[in-house]
Amino acid sequence: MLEVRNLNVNYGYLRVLSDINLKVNEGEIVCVLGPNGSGKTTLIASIAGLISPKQRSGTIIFQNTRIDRLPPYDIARLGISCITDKTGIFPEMTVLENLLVGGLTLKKNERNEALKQVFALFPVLRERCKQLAGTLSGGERKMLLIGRALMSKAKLLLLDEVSAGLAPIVLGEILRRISEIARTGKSILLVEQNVFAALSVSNRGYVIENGRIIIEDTCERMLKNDIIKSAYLGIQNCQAIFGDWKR
Amino acid sequence: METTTFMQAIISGIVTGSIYLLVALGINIIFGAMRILNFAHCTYMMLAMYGGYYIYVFGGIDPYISLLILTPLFFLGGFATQKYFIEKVLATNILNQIILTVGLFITIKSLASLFFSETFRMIPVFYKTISYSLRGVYIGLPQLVAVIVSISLVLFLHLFLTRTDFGRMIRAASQDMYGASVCAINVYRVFCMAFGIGTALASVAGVLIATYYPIYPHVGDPFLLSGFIVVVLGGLGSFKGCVVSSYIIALTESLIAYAYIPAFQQVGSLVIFMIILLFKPKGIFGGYESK
Repeated sequence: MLEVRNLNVNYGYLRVLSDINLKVNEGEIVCVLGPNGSGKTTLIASIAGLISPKQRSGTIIFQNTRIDRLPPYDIARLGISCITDKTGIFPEMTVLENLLVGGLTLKKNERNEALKQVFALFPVLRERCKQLAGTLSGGERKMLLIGRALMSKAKLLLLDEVSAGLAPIVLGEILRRISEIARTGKSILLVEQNVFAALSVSNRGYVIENGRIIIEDTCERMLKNDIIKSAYLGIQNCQAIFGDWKR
Repeated sequence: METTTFMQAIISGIVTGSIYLLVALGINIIFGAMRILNFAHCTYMMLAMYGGYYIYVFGGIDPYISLLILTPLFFLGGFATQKYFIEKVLATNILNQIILTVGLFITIKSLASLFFSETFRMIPVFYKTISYSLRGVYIGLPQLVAVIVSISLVLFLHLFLTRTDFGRMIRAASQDMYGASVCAINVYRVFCMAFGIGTALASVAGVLIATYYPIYPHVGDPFLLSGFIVVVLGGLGSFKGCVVSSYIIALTESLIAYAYIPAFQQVGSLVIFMIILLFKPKGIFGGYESK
């Protein structure tokens, strides 16, 4: 579904991503792990078109279409929805208006249908639908962002640091919803610093360090990988800790 | 102040406030969408006044009817200004943006002085002298039309921004440009449309006052200052704030003028402006608007 080939990104003279090759198949959750400043968010922003083509090279293909020269709104129209720190909610619009903006490309009846599905997935958004989005809590904002992304009937969701700033119970709830979304056939590329959270819901994963992919494997094998265990988890037996979030 | 004089001051304030409202809403839509302070805004108002004048003089078309030609024309002019000038400096610093719009302001005004001369002109419409009175309080027909058209337009604009997809697109792009981009909104196109709408509002304000106000190249200057005061007082980007503060400023100016101290007319509104900002530094409706 998504294929990134030899992606390089520069910020001025600084090389942020080097020779990135990555694949996401249909209905798959793929996580990208790595420490702060390793280039994870830049990777997501590059796929979504939020980084100028002048700053990057390489090929990005989505459903047999090259998207690396397209602006973000055209990429979104093709079926890629992105949630990063850069792409926030619309704080002075109501929750309902935020969701409606997410479904702008749909016909009215399709939009109503998508709205029903989002409300079924996140009932709290239905309760808050007349509330200004800027007054939502951190967890509710994340739900709204995911809901808004789903409104477009996107085929691929790019999620950047959904765990950031969330209480464990809220995070658990959101991860369960992400698993549910993937079961409907959508693909998800999940960028996370929270390794427990990411590995608990994903099928495969990549580890980025200093802008390069250093590990690519299934999540189960990654959990047994000594480098990941010592560098990111700091423990020997992870299964016991996040068993609840498992798909 | 007698009751009649007081009521006359109120009516006069409402008329001026309605024009301020159209000017300030134009500034506000452009600022709200792109965070650009458009110093050239009232030059469009001045050009529309000349447009109304020449269409009347050479074509014999009533200024109100000429709105049907001028409003779309100014919408396109605003669209082009955004696309070919403002868009180039959007990603740069605020100083570049200010210098660009001030440059446009000076250039357009200088060209207007060159082509139209500094002579004061009036559109000699027959209804200029028609007025209505109620218990000694008068309102001229052109002023009454200005109030009705302004308020109707503001209501229409409010419905457009809150009830239509395109209105939501403008609001979304103004609140989070990247967020709007990933929702499949072409934000650059939306900004052009917002600039076009803002400019079209300035043209409507211009034609409405051209029926009772002298036309000259600097006619927009005081409206520009008042427009900025209104926008800041109401809370930058706030629609509701714009409506409330337009009438606060205009009524203050009018009451001071009718109290026989016209020299303090603008000073008085600035004092009110500063006092309100002391208590509400972000403006009356600064921050999140309540729906």
